Order: sequence, then C-alpha cells, then structure tokens
Amino acid sequence: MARIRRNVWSLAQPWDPVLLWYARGVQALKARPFPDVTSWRYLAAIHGIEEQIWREFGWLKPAEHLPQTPEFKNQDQGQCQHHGWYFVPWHRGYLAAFEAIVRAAIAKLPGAPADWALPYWDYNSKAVANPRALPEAFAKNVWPDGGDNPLFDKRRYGRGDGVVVIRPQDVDTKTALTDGQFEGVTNGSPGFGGVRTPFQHDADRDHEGWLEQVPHDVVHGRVGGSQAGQDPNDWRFAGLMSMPETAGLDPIFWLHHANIDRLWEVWRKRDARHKNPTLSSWLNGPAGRHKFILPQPDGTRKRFAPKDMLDTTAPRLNYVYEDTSDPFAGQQRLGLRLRTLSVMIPGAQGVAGPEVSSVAKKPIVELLGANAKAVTLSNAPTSTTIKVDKPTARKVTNSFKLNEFAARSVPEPDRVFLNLENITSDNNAAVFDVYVGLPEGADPAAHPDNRAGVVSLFGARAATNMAKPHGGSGMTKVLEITDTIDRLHLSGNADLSNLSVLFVPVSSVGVGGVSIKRVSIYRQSS
Amino acid sequence: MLRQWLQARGFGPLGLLLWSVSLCAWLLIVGGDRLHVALPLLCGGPPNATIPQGVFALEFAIQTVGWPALAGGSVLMVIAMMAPALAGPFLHLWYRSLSRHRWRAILLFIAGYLLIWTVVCVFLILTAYLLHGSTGSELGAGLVVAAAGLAWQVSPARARCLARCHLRPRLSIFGAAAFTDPLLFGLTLACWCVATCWALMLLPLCLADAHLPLMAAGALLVAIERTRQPRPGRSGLVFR
Repeated sequence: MARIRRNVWSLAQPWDPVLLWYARGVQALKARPFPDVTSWRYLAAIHGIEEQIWREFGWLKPAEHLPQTPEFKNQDQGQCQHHGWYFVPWHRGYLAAFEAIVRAAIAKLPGAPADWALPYWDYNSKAVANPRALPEAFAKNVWPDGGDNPLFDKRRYGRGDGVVVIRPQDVDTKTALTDGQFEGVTNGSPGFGGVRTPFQHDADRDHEGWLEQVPHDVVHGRVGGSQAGQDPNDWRFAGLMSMPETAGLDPIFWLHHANIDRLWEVWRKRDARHKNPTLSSWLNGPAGRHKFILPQPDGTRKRFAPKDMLDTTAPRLNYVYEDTSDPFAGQQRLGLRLRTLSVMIPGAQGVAGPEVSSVAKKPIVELLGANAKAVTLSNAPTSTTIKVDKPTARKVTNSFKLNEFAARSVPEPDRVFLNLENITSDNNAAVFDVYVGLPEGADPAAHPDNRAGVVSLFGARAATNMAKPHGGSGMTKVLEITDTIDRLHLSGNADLSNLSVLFVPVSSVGVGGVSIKRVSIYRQSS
Repeated sequence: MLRQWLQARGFGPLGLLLWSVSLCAWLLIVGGDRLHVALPLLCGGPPNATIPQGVFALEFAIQTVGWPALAGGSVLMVIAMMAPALAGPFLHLWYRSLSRHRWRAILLFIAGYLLIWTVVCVFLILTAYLLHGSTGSELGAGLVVAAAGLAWQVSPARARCLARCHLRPRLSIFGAAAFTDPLLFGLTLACWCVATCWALMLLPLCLADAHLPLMAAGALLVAIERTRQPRPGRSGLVFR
C-alpha cells in the first residue's frame, strides 16, 4: 500500500510523530561523513554546492575536503534541474531518493514507524489561520529529544530577523494550476512545467515554468531571505534557502519541495486534459552524457528518467498525497479570460470558447515592444516605460475579432507577456512585485488589477557569475499581463503605445543590486 | 522519430541549416578556393623570417591571387568552422528582435562577426609565416602551436573565454541602437571566439599539407563545445 505524505498543518503541532521522526532521521544523516552518499551534506550537494560558501557557513570544516570520488565530481554534485521542463520530474526523483534514505535511517532506531513518509508544507492550507508561517518544529531550536533541534537552522532569515513572512500572493498557485499546457515556449507562456531544454544546470536561466516561478522561487527567497542590517548582495549574509547552492541543507527545503511535487499531482488530476509531455526527449531525457542519477539507501546509485516519475504509486515511488483536491474548482485560464472578456465587451456575452486551449501547433511568439535602456532596481519603487511597436500592436488589436470569436471560429485573442530579460544580481533573496500600466504617481497598492506578479531572484547570483558556462547572462522572468492588457485595451482610455512598468521591492534589494538588461513585451497568438 | 532524435541532441531546424551552410563552405574549400591554394606561399616563411617579410609575402599573395580571393577564403574558413556554433546567438537575435527586423539583426551580427575574424586571419597567417621561419619547418611550427594550444585549451582562462561566448547582450529595438546593438554583438562575440579558438585556427594554417583534416577536426571540437551543456566546476577541457 502506498505511503501517505501528509500536510504538515494536518499534523499535531509542534511535534507530531511524523515530524519527530523526520528530525531524528535528519539528525542521523547529519552525523554521517560527507563522502557517504546517504549523508545530509552529500544529498544537499546534489542540489548544488559552492565550496567557498559551504566553508564560510561551517558546512565544510577547514580540514575537510569535498568528496574526491569520480561519481561526485563528474555526475552527482550540482545536478538539480531548474529553468526548464525537467524541473518537476528531477525534483520528484530527488525527493523520493531523500525520503527513502531518511526512512532507512529511521528504521534503525527503536520504535520507528515502517510507513514514515515525508510531510509537505501546504502554504495555502485551510487547516490553520496562517499556513504561510514556518511550522513551529522548524522555527525554534528546541525539540523533545533535547539538544539542538535538527530541523532548526539559524540561517533562515525570512524578513531579515528570522521571522518568515509570506504573503498570500507569494504562493498564489492560480497561474500555474489553471494553465493547461505543461510545456511552454520561449518569451511567451512558459507553461506549467517550463520550456524544453537539455540537461539544465548552470546553463541558460530563461525557461522556468509557472510553478517554478510561483510559489517555488518566491518561497525560497522569502524563507531564506538575508540578514537584516547587512548588504543583501553579499552572499555571506544570505539564508540557506535563498541559494540553490545551499538550499538542500535546510530541512524545510524538503517539505517545500514535497508541496511543489504535490502541486504537480494537483495540476495533473484537476483536469483530464492536463497532460505531461509525451515526447521521447522528455520521457527518456535528458539526451547526452549527463543523466539523472541519485543515491539509494544501500549506498548504490540509481539512474532515472522522467518516464519513471509519472505515477507516484508505482513501486519505485510508492506514495500518495493526503490532499490533491482542486483549489480552483475546475477553472481554466482560457475560460477565466473568456468570462472576463464577455463582461467587458458589449454584445459578446455569448462568448464561451474552449476551456483549455488546444495547441496542435507551436504558437507564434513575437516581440511587441521594449524599454530604451537597462533598469537598475533600488529599495524604492523603480519604473521604466515600454515603447510599443505600432505594426506589431495592430496584430494584437486585430486578434480581437469578437463576432467570429463568439462563434468559436477563430482562436483565442493574443496573449501578452512581460519579459524581464537578463536580470543580473548577487542578491538571491531579492523579491519584488511588478505592476504594468499604472498611471503616473499612482499608489500600486490601490491598483491590484495592474499587478503582473511577483519575482524572486532565487539562483540569480550563479546566473550572474561570468565564469559560469552561461557567461553571466543572468536570468529571464516571464509574467503574463494578458488580463491587464485586455482591460486597458478594451477600456479605450489607456495609452498602450507607451506602457509603464513599476518594480516595487518586497524584500531588501540593496543599492544597485539588481539590473534588468531589457524589459519587453511579447505577443503570443495561438 | 528521426526528427525527435535529432532535436533531442540539439539538431533543430536552425542547427541543421547551420550545418548545411558549413557543409557548403567545406565543399567550396575542397573545390579549391584560392586562399587554400596560396597557403604554402602565405605561411611558409624562410629561416629567421621577420614581420616585414611576412607582410611582403602577404602583399605578394594578394597580388598573385587577389585580395577578394584571400578575404573570401578567410570568410569561407570561418563559416566552415564556426557556423554550427552560432545557433545560440542567432536564436537570441531572432527571438529578441522585432519580427520584421530579425534578418537585418542577423546580417548586422554576421558582418561584425566576420569582420573581426577576417582581420584576425591576417594576423594568424602572419604568425604561421613567422613560426615556420623560426622553426624551419611546417612540422616545427605545428608542434609549437599544438603545445601552446593544448596548454591554452585546458586553462581556466580559456574556460572563461568560452563562457563569454554564451553571453547574450541586450538588443535595442528602436533608434540607432537597433542597428548598433546586433553589430556590437557580432564584434564582441567574435573577439571571445578568437580568444577561445585561435589555436584551432592557427594549427591548420601552420600545417598546410594537413590543412583540411585539421580544420575539420577543429570545426568538430568547436561545434561540440558550443552546443554541449558543460558541467559546473570544471576546467577548460573540451571532452568532459
């Protein structure tokens, strides 16, 4: 029978047996030497490692060296997949390997449960008043067994003083869950699961899917944060969760990713038309020399491919989630848009349209406009203006053929995406809100409809490092602004030839710490 | 099936197009472009050859085969060796330009890229001439370049140059910058390419008899390096 991964908020607080055994398992793994492939540090290093940071943070003692095995050097370290379509399957395999190793470690202790499974942190849970708070078992350095709490880490800065504050919009899963496409396209919709990429570590960071952007990235930044009163651009003051190179060292990382993994199940189950990619290059990927391979409880290493991660009840995984119910009652992105349009457009009340767009062919994505020069963010709101190319804008206007649209004889009107291109920063914990089309001087808080989304720069420091294989190109973030453009467009009052974009810091950005090389908008026609 | 297999290995439509362009350049070279006919004359310096002698040899070659043929030969050599490695920059230009300006941006980029390489080819030819003269033989010159090239190939400095080849700059879409940004991208990328690949270009120039096989091997190395995902934390070794 499949083991059940439980919501941390449905467990007794603070020390339900599931959490207590997790703490004991973490303690056992932390006691193992680094070269042991089942040790805490080895498993964390698979996600990412930078020797200098680990030494500074005390995870590598002065006399210690990184494991010298060919397996570690050539394959295991820095294997995590971000910014691409392997994000969810790789992390599922990673989580399963970790869970099996923790379970095996617990099994050696007297009284251990045989069916222990990793809990998940549902930050949108209805079970408690503030599910976005850090569970108490992780927040205090005390635990029933005495001594240091293995689930606590002082490098969890949150808002700066160690208190984790996550806003509802930081964990809003609506964009991710209501998009019916797993695979996305460059510069347009990145889809639920990301854009097609090869093995993706320290490579281009331009292709992350909706789920990876929010809530994944934002929770990393909001939990890890950076130390108050210090320069947020200095990695020495960053939290473990803020950086891919250290995130796996924080015990809350695994509960966060269990929830991300659960959301993949929620997405898949909430609509029969939500399908994982069927291409061989995904199912059997990645192509090339670098494969996914992870340690097992017996110390061996085992390869896997996304095709092995499709069914969580298969013997290799053997788990289910306590709750995979649909938080949005079947709503789909396209259906929501059509309803909005039908309200806004006189005479278009009959517009219904398909609930899930069928993408038989690759959509056309083209540049619609861009700002004039790079933008540097500061701790105060910063704005820029996008100049729109008129001939391309006419294509967007022409896509609103409403009568035919109502008769379902033409595809969905163009979607519009804001691209924040080649963002460079040493501040992994930077989080900022983005607004579009705000009138000059307007209070962004008074215009929630103009909010395009939230951006977290988890991984930005590595993406900025010019010595890395990507040459320091930075990362690109994509936000959908179709609803806002629909509203501005159809109101007839807005000047869409010059679109304002406002960046409002949520966490400390630091002085000159974030540079966005180009802010642009793209149209995507189906 | 074949399409999926090719795409999974980085051979999308653009990759196949660039390989085809490279193949055409190869056919023209093998068919006997005049630069390669004149190579022994250009690169075979006498004992203790000097820079003025090298310049004189170059001028003589220009008079003999004509500068368009020499420049064209250099361009062909660059296209044959580098075209498959340019898929990333072309995609960057394609996606980040207005649709009606995509080809213009790519042509400006190519102009900048080839300009740098053509100038560098002159210096490489002169270097081959001087090395031939100072070592007394093609083989001697080749061994010097091979030794220096191997040391450079595995150095961290080269790895950093290679990383810069993946840099994707901002591209403006309005005003004069819409013209200068793609051009500057081509000029800049070519400089990083030269820093990364000078030894692979110089070696075939030194060994005129084995020119084409060495060029082919160099082209293969360049293509593999640029299209593979390198592992983090490694040195500049090609095969990793």
